[in-house]
Amino acid sequence: MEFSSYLIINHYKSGYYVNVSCPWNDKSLGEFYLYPDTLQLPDELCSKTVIRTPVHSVIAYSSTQWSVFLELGEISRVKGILESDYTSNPDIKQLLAAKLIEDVGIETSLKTEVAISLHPDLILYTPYSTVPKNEIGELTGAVMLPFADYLENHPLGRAEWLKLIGFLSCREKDTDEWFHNIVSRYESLKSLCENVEYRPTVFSDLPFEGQWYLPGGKSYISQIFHDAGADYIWADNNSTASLPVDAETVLIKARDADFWRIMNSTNTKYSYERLAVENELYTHFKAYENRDILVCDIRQSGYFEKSEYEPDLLLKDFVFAFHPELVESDYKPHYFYKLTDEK
Amino acid sequence: MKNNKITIGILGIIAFGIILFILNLFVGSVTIPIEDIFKVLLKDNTDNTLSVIIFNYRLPQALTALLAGAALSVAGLLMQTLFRNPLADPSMLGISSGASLGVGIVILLTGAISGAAMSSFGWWSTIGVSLAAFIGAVLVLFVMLAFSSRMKNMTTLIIIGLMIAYLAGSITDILKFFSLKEDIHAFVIWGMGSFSGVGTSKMPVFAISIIIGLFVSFFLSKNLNILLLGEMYAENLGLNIRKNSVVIILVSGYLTAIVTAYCGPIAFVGLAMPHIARFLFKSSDHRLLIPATMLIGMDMALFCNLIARMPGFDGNLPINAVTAFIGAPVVISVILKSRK
Amino acid sequence: MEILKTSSLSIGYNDKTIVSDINVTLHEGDIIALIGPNGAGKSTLFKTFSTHIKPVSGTIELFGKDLLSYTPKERAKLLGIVLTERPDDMFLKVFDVVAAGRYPYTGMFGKLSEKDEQEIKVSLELVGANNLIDRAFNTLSDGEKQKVMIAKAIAQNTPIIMLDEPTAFLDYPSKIELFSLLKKLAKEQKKAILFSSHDLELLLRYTDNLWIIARNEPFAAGMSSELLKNDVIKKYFKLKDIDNQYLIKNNN
Repeated sequence: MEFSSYLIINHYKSGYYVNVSCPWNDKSLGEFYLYPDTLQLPDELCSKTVIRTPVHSVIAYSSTQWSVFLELGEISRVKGILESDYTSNPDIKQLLAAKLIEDVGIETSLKTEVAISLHPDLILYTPYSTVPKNEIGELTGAVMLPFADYLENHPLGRAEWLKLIGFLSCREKDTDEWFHNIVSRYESLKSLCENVEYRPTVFSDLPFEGQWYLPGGKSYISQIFHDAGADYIWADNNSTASLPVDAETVLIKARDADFWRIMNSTNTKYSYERLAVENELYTHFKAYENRDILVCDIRQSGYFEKSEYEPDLLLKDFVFAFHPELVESDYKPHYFYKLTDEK
Repeated sequence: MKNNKITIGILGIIAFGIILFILNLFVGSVTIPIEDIFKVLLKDNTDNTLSVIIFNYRLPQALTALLAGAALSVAGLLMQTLFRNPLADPSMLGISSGASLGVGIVILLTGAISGAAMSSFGWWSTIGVSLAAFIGAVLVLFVMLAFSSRMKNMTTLIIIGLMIAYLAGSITDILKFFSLKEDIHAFVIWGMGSFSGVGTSKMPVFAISIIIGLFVSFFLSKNLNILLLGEMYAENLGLNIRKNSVVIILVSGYLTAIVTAYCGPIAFVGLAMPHIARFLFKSSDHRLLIPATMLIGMDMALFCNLIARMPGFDGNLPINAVTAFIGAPVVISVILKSRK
Repeated sequence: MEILKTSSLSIGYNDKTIVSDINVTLHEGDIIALIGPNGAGKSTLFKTFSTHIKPVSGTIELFGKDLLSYTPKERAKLLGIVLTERPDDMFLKVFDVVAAGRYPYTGMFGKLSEKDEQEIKVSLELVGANNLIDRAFNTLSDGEKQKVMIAKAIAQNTPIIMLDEPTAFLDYPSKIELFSLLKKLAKEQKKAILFSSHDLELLLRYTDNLWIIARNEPFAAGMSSELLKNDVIKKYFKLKDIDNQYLIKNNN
């Protein structure tokens, strides 16, 4: 793969070999052989984990999985999803209402019997270092395929996982083209920002109980900040995970940062007044004083479902904020917009 | 203990408290040179960030620690005397569990409602959490009051309090089971306790609420003293047992509810500080014990806050871990020393 | 002078009568022993008098007024109790215990006046325990604790003192000492003293007035000699085969 660190897909005879790895141990999370169901399976694969393509009944743990099927027009292959209450996607809601897709519960408490009744041939799950793989694979007879997209620390590496869905539904030509377009748009925007004279500084998130949980210097968001021609205050940090940082350290290091990125998980919009009520400390940041806070309303924007495969748009939102002269002047941000005092 | 010894003791605790308070302003994860601190204090500073850290972050945090320590310690003393049980503490009434349930409902359920994990720690998480904790605590408090006004037997009341705590805990566990990992994580963080959630904006309400409760507790000292003889004697001496226990539960429950709402369930302080006061002053007179416990609670909370924010850690240590880690050896050593 | 009077009093818990039709009077200077086998209702009567429980029926008058019409504070100045229960707080001092007796007389914070302090010292002197004043209460012997609790009741300055099983846990000399103390209180302080005991032998030897209580028997009151003569004691205590002469007072 070009950008992904944890996904390997190679040709194998008339099918494909897939290997998924993870950062927490050297061992692979699994090796899989994708083989068209119209062809005879080669003998040597009988003892391997084989997924016959296209798949017919998929249970998807995460919205980043089913959203690709949806985009490809292959959503009928998805029979069950997790955390269905959390989606705001109208198509999925309709399918759920029509019982064409079943709710299979949430990760900590799967509706095992519903899952079995769907006769899945493939379960796309989210691998965690601390959580053992659910026994649902054995119970349903489905192949458990780890979808490790969230572990990728490069925006294009994350987006590249859409290719896997393409292979699974025998639409690899379309997904290749799709991904290629993403890459070219992303790269061209990035190259525009590479030689900017002024790189503004940026930091991220709000504290909880007095403590910030900041994205690590090698994280996905840190990479986007960099590509958008800005300097993330914690870019020197070597972690990919979130860092617990005390409020006073954040004040010292980020008080004079030019921009501040905030995620809003509530249904209502943020405002500068509301931030001041939540915590008076916020008002002392330069980004607050200069009204340079960038907000993403997670729910309204469909951030978790869509942004992964629109890293170019995500990047463009930030470029629009950091270097407006590089983007068309009537650009409307998709995810992150600058919070203003207007209602 | 002679009067002048008591005065020296109290003055010593106050002096210690002042030193700790100042250290709380001076020490934190960001190292600020002493001369810069004086510049900030003398308003002769060039660096405004240092002044924000000291006045808008460290100062409200130290004040929160001080007030929370005082409130929980007094609440613990009231519980221990009312139930005549040295292991009683504010959590015994189920109030902390009620607060936890309230917070559990907000963090774990609103996560589901708002469609995204609370891990992004929105606005709701700070204001909503305090409110939910307070509502949960007060609801349990009213249930306990209803029981306590109906029965004279303190053992029964302890059992009911424990049962309510279990009940609230089990509902919280069920909620957790059906929640996203990110929300559970947020809930766990809340459960570790923190003195930094109040800040300057919420400080006036927090401080006034606590001071009112502490002020009222002074008026209970006579009745608490009489309770030490046992309920039958106290009743014979003219004390209305039910009314009195309702008032004591109300005051200590109120103090616990306020602190839990703003700082999370801070363990251990309420249980341990009254013992230190008793052993230090060798007294059972609540006219002395209430202020002494209050002051010792302030000192201990300031000390724990100092440890939690020691330079060298990028983040804060959880207050709950520090209170027990520092407090338990202190209690053991005080008891051993006085037994000699 | 008549202090306490009951009329057709029935006592018990939650409407379940244990003893009924009690008609007795307590006068100034009286010293009365309430006797009866275990479980006969001695504590129930005490709890009723101290208003811990309500009478099932009938009335109790204190100085001509219904006992229940007094406020708790007023009652605290009229009737003091000494129970078998003991305070167990580690840091409670003898002084504190006796000072508790002044609770009905002190202000909002319980600050003791000079008069209060004086009363506390006098009370301790009266029971002969003034040397214990600075001791921690739970380091005392049973006999010393008993004295201190009585000092508390004296400091409470009530016309009636009721003692539940005051001789329990005491050795013989302490028992004798206790009886003479009670007698002194009745005589010098003009207090009415009611105490319960099942220490029959001692009672017959040292007291004149008895209230006798037993299950399924009517409540009886009178001089111990009369009650003996009429075989009431034998009957109530089910002492069928014992000759009265063993029970008759032999101290005169």
